[in-house]
Amino acid sequence: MRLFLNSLDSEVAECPEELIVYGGTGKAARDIESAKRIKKKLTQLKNDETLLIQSGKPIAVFPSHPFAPRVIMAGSLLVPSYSDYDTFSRLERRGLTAFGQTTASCWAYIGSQGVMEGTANTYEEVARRHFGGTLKGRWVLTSGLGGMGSAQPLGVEYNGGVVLAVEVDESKVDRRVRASLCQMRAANLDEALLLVREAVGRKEARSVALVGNAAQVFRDVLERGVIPDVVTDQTAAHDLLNGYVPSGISLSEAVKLRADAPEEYLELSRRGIVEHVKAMMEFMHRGAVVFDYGNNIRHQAVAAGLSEAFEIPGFVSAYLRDYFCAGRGPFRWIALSGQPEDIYTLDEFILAEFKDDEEIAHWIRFAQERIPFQGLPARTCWLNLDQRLRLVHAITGLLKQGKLAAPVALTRDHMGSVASPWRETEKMPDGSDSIADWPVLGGLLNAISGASLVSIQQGGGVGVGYSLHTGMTVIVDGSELSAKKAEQVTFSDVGLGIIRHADAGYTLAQGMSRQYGFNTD
Amino acid sequence: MDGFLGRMRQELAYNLTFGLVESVRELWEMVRTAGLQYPPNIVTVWEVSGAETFFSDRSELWKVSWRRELKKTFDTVLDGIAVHCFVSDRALAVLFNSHDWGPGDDGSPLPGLKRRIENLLALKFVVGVGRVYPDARQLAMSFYEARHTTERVRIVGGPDLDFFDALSEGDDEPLFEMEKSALKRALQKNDRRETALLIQKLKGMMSDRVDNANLSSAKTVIFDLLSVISVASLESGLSLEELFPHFLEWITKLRLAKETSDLYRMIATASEKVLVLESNDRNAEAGMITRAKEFLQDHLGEDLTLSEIARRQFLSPCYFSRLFKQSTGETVMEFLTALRMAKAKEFLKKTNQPVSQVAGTVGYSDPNYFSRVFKRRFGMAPSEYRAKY
Repeated sequence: MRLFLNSLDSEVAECPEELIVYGGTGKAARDIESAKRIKKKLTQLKNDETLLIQSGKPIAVFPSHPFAPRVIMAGSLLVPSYSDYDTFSRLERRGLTAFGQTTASCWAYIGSQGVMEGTANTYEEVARRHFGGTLKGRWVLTSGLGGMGSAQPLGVEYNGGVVLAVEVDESKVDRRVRASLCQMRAANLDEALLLVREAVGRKEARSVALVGNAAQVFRDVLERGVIPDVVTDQTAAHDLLNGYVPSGISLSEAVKLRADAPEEYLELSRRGIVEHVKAMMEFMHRGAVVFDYGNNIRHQAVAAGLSEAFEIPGFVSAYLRDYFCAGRGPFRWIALSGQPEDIYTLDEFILAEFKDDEEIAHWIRFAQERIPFQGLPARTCWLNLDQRLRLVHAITGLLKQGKLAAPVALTRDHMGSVASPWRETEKMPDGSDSIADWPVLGGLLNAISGASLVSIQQGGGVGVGYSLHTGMTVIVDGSELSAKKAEQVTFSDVGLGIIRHADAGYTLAQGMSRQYGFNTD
Repeated sequence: MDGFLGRMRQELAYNLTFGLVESVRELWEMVRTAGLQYPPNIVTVWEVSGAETFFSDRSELWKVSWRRELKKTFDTVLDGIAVHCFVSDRALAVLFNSHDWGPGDDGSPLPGLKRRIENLLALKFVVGVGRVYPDARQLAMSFYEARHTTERVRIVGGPDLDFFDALSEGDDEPLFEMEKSALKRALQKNDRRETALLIQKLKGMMSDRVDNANLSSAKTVIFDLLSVISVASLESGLSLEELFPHFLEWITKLRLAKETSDLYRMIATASEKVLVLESNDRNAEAGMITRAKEFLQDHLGEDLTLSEIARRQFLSPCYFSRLFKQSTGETVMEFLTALRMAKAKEFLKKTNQPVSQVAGTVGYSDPNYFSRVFKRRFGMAPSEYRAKY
């Protein structure tokens, strides 16, 4: 219940009145009626019952047992050959389904704080591969300050760099600056470039937001002959109708046109995205490091006729794959007490227990100083299996000692449990990019391992038809039962991720798999 | 509410109002020490209406007791609802968390609180309300907006409880937001060409968008722009003393203006004046900081607030605070605390004064608070320090 309401908290959700949590139209419940019923059912749910949710609509409560999940969900799923945007939109308009994005429908979204470290890690890896380990004196041109993109300014700052983030929606820019997620807003491109140049010259970290259309601004930057060190994009390109805003029209015109002439709008979006990706490629050809940041923009450009769009590498295959092979991924914990002290207590544990891991210590200290809480206080940290298990035990111990005020929810992003051939599973060595058995196995395994909530969904991040993924949350309340569940779920969840990469042929993952005894030989 | 909590809440209100909290963790520790569940997220400024008429020719003692009465009433009415601090002799910043309010404007307790406080004090207030900032570390902006709103109400009229964003309500975009920001930067850079271009653009936009038939709405926009010009000039280093006579002249003209065409000319005149004043005023910043440091050295035993220190330098607290940090790398209060602690060590080593007396000598009226600050800084209590050295 706390997680459901948190995902719709006004500090967390982008448009709570329409139940939209983030990422275009990613919803926590299908409609208001469903939201009310979910709330009611969760209040009444007993410890030996399981609530079933179908694309954001509660459909039944079944008798189960204490070790079973309290909530199971299936979201946005369609039979494979029908799984396209048009069919989905038609069914969504008829109220038969809802788009759950990734962590929206499974109530694990915690605002920008959730993706902050993943973004920081991506830029850290970019710095390591191309710029000698730091972004000091380098600048990043990017776009999109929505739920996911808003982590970019701090992610670049974390690595000492300068970022210019272009966002078409002025209210989002305002919101990010007011929430300290971005330092300043420039009045126009010239001023923005001046601010960037100044900070690059001084090798200072700085984040500048600019209200504008990404495709247009990218072209304008090119015309001025300015080449950033890094270029990427996190606009809502996965949804050409309700997310992306093509160049040449204002946001208010876009809203009107979407409703009045959706076909015309889609055509404008397709043309706009081709120009947008062309500009990114031009930056690449002129020496910038360019990568796709997981919003499916390359595929959209290919579909619109730009066949060479996949020359731009994807961020997971280029920068993050090794993390997943080693079983290190985005783990997050949410203090259900609502008290920041609980998070700080766990921070202290991590700083003491993992003091040899400089990345973790640096991250936790940075997070304590810079990342404001949104809704329920939470922390994310990329941890490996051993570290997660130690944290699970510590939480149980601290709860028993009364050092934490209330139970803690453990969850994660879907990055380690997903089939997404243009993002997380792009360029797998054995060509298994589009095999979707793995996340389904992940969901089933989590359900029998004692997760409190399990969801199987599709379309998160890259849009309908392009990904299948599972969500998982387990509540640790200090009891032996919850400790056992959390331990088992953690082991299964991370374990399957390692096995998936080992099976694809990664030697690092194969080594990890042998170390943990996962082999079936 | 006990005295300690009261002081902690006042300190929290003060630090947030003037943007002195930088770390998320520090913020939460302050919130907890103040006995609150969560930090405020919106600032309101309560300014006594018509204060100038009964404030002149009053003794300092009268003002102190008047402020005490005001504080007592705010303490009583706002206990558990908000935290507050004085921002001038006649105005308080009151910080709320809007989540405590019901949905929509109807849920705001402000009209009821205002009525109650006015009845208890037999005074009238103008209340300006800033915007909500989810990150409390940004509340200095909300304070700026609230203060700006009270000034707007005082000068061009409007409801005596007014919201900063009321001006842009109903529009897709905030009124001239980008252009205002560009104008501010052009003035700060002393860029005459860019300033002239922007003024031309603003004039065109105003004639398109502002209802010329409604003189009051045009005055509101012009007041807004005059504020931008004034803030830009103060942040560029112009002293309040230099700016004030000009600002007074613009405001008087604004009040008396009867035609919208007169109003538009005012913006160009005001900008030109600021550019001229600014060019005379570069390089004055270093001198200001040196003078401020000397002042702090000489007065570290007094109960100083940032406002007070800034006032003695004839600067706005915000501008002074920013300038000081830029120049020294420390906030004013950090610098002052370091000075006080160094002095305290000296007294502890060289004199037999009791710790409570040392605390008083270096500007701490509460010896316990002094001991806590000392211990936090040096890892030992003042008495331990004395025994060791």
